[in-house]
Amino acid sequence: MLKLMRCNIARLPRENGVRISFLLALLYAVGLGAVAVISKVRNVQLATDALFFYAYGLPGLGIPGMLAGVGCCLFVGRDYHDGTIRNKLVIGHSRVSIYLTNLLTCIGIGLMINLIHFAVALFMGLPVLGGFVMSWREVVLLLVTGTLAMIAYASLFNLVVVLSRNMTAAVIITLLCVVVMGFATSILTALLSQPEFYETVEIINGEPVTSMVKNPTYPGPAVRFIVEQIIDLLPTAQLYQLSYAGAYCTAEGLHLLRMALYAVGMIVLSTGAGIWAFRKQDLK
Amino acid sequence: MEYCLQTRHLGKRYRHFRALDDLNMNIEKGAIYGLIGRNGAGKTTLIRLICGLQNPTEGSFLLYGADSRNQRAMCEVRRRMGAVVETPSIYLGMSAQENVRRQYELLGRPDDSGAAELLRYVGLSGTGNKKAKDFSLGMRQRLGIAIALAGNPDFIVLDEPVNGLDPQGIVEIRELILKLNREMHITVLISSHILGELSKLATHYGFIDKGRLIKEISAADLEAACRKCLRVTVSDVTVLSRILQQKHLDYRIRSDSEADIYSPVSISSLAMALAGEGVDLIRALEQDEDLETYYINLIGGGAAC
Repeated sequence: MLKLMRCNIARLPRENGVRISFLLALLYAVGLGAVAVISKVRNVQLATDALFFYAYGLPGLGIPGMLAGVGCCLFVGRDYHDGTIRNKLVIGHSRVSIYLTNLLTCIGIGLMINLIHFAVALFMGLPVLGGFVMSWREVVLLLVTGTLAMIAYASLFNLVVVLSRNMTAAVIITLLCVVVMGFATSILTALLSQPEFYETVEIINGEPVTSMVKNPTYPGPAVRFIVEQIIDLLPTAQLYQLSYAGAYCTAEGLHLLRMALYAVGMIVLSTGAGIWAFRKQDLK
Repeated sequence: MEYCLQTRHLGKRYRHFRALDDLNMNIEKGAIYGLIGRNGAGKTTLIRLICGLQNPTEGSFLLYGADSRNQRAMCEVRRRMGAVVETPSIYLGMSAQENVRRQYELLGRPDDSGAAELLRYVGLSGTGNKKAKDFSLGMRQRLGIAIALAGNPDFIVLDEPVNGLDPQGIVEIRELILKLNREMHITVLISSHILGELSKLATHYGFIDKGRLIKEISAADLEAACRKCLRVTVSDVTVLSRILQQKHLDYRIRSDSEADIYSPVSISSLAMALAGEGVDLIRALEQDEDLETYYINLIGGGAAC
């Protein structure tokens, strides 16, 4: 596996898709940093925490996930497109080691996209916006959870490439998945955010009378539980929650342990499925 | 006799289609083994199994004594192999030198000091930073061969390496393969449709049809087995056919004016017999059966390779 990893690392800077992903990640980070600085100049209250954790995406827009997906699929898919996966198999590298090496590389791509943002956020944010509002414990817990979510993303992207065996198709599928998961997250979050009661005003005998009426669309305990599980399961939703936590400078209300366990479960299941599928594949 | 590769009842099925069926093949060390078969015969499927790209559904093979069912042993022994399967496996966005470097990294070679020499050996020196996507087909083939040679293999598999090449390119690849075999003592398995080219290269032949190896023969035995004949051109082949049947001679009609006569025949008596029927004997030439004719006769005549 070391030999495979060495080859992948040497290939990374030469892969246009990866370079473009990193460049766009840098532009994303710098753009947000500039917005933060301008906001501060206009006396809009914004903390470094928000800028920092936008590394996981803006509310409703999972750009880092999309960039990681594009970079991973173009990198791993190149071996299928150019046929160079055959070189690895012919000289005796096992399918398991090839799969795991690609997975590690995808993880590296995803975490690098985050690191680019973190570096820019600290460079631009700390001098202008000041230090973190959240405690260091909260920051570290969010980072650990975010890292696991990005690893879960990487394992899913790797699985998609292996199943599709086509670089372009893999990119399209991963982008669609991130977008669909993003929409689902927005809808489910909105569902959970509904108030149980809402205020109504009636005119009785010419006088306005306010009363609290139960929201008919308020999710019941069972629905709420299921929705919370889904939101804590999907990598996109996890990252949105972390991004929101940064924006509101608190990790309160997040089920970090549950999110981490779901991420680990997704990593194990998708990697296992990917290895199984790859070992059975007839390559041309 | 030492064998580089031996297949035992090797079979490959794709759902309901049997691509390889009970295939038994033996490749001697140091041989240039020509694998001949028509389109869809199973040549590329066999090569894919040998190269580890696909798993057999039946049977097994031995590669330098390692059983294909033993994954660990196969991983070890595959380091002695190189292959170009169908299209060259090269990174199109990288130069020749970078492609070789990537292969060295996969092989665990600490440095790329031999890359320039390897590229010179295959005739690709001086390509500089030119990306492989800008190479001609012949250059890509040669780069594919260079990558296959990067690990100093003892056994190299080439799947139709001269497909799409111009005559100059075909000659260069042929010279390269002969050089590899003679100078570096590399065993070569080469599949090709171009029988004329294969006949100039191969020391052994394997004829494959409908997923089965129907004949394995050395070049020396093939030469001995190829029948001499007298190829005659006449003005009326129907009359010729009647005369030859009357004389109980072994023959084959080639066209409406040509026939090959395999039995010994007196040309003068034949000419007289034909003249008696008012038929002209236009030409009579001695011919050796070539690889193409041997192959066509083997698989049942008239089939395109």
